[in-house]
Amino acid sequence: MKTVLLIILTVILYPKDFVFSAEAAEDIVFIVNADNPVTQITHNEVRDYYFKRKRVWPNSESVRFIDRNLDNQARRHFVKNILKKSNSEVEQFWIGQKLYTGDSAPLRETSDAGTIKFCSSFKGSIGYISAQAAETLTNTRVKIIKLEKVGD
Amino acid sequence: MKNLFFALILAIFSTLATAQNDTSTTYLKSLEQRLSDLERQQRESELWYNEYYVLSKNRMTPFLGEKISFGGFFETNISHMGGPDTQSQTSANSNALGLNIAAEFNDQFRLVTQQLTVLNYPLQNPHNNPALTQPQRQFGNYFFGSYVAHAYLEYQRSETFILQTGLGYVPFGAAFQQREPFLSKNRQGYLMVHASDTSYVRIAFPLWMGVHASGAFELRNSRVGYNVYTFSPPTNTKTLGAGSRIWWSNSHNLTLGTSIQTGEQATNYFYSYGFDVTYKYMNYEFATEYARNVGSGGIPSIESYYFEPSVEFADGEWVLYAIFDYLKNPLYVDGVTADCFEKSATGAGVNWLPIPNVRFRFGGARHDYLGETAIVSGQNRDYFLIDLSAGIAF
Repeated sequence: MKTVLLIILTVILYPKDFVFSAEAAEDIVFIVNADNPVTQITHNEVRDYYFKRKRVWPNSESVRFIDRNLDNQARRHFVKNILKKSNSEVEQFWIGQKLYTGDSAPLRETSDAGTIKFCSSFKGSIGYISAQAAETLTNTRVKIIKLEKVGD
Repeated sequence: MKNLFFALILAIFSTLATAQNDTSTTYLKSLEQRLSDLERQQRESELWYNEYYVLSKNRMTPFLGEKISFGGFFETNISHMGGPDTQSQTSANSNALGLNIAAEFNDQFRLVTQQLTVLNYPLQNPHNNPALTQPQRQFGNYFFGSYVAHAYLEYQRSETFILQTGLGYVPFGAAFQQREPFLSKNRQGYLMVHASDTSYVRIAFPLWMGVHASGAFELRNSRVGYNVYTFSPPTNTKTLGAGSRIWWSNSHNLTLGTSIQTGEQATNYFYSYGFDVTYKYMNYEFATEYARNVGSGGIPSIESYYFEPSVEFADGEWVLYAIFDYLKNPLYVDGVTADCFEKSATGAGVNWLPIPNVRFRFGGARHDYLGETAIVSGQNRDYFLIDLSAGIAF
């Protein structure tokens, strides 16, 4: 009985970890336009670009981050493992930014193909796709950048 | 006979082949037409996608072709209040609509505005002082106001230097900055924010006015930021005050900050300082802040602090919080009546966010007046306040 109570208490106190445990397994890769000279990026830099704390690339090109729809598995992985926040925290952050600073959340793409297409078209774009979709990147104007765990 | 039969077979097959050839040509032509239609549709779709969706053209029709975004919030509530010497009363006493318009001229320049329109029944005699014309606290008469809550032009040279000119919420600690009602777990807010009276700035002046510079940079896998700003206190409008804040964050879950502000008032000058800590661990958050205002001429100082732990459930759909808040104000003036007091507020509540843009709150707090200020001329000042409120951001 004690064990059951302990399990119930744990699920109540840490619901996020149980909700996402099965879905967070999918890996993602980050892609940028082929003209972008950047070849690797740290977790901190991804967070800075996503939250618009940094708005330009080292080559002075404006950053255009492409997010994914809320129900997307890749996004769940991104929010939990890269941003290290909950969906709710991210949503509240962008509502706050809109009210305080007029800043809007990054555009959201529905599919891997859409993200690839966007990154092909815009030099400053950065997005993330599932590792599975990354195998279809031949003959596109995007490239994969290596994600370093510095700053994690 | 054999030749005739062979000729007949050949004739039949050649007819069939011609017919097949005609069918194939027609089919190929229809395929070409279809392909051509698809290519045209794709071109149109790309044009729409790039021009209107990505570059946000023609979403609105701005004067100068800049990108304009529009949004805001609406906040409404019902409050119930009572106490030993406070009449039990329930009122739908507050409705507020904030309209935000931001114009982004390019990646460096933008204009941000918020127009706030409020219809409410403000609390009269909030500290239950029997010496006032209205001898007990109560929800008062109709008040309607519409004003610019914040408006500034921002120039972002880099992340280490952002310059704003106009007015906005002052970066003094956390409570003074987090003034958008929709984002607040605790609708009643913090005592330190409401400490000022009609005559003097008591903890800190709540708006920066004029110039505000800010920035942040990385330092050993963490971030350090600063704010510097000016303001003109309403108690001495001919002067310019100044303030500053420095903060440190490890990016994920811990933020530490310290703030100062100084200005000249009608008969003295003041300086305020404060410290704030916000710590997040998994579903839990803990926020605390201390601030003190010291005036020249040896007058007593004003101080305030709070502790606010909270926990999230179901990926932030539910939030539980508790708060302990304290304020000591030996210089409070209500109208023309001096009324020093020392009080604490202990409360708890729950937030429900069925979608990220909608926040329902149910919370309450017990307000206790402490020490010699607990009872004035035989009138008990304690009371409790329960709120049911909704905030919608759009």
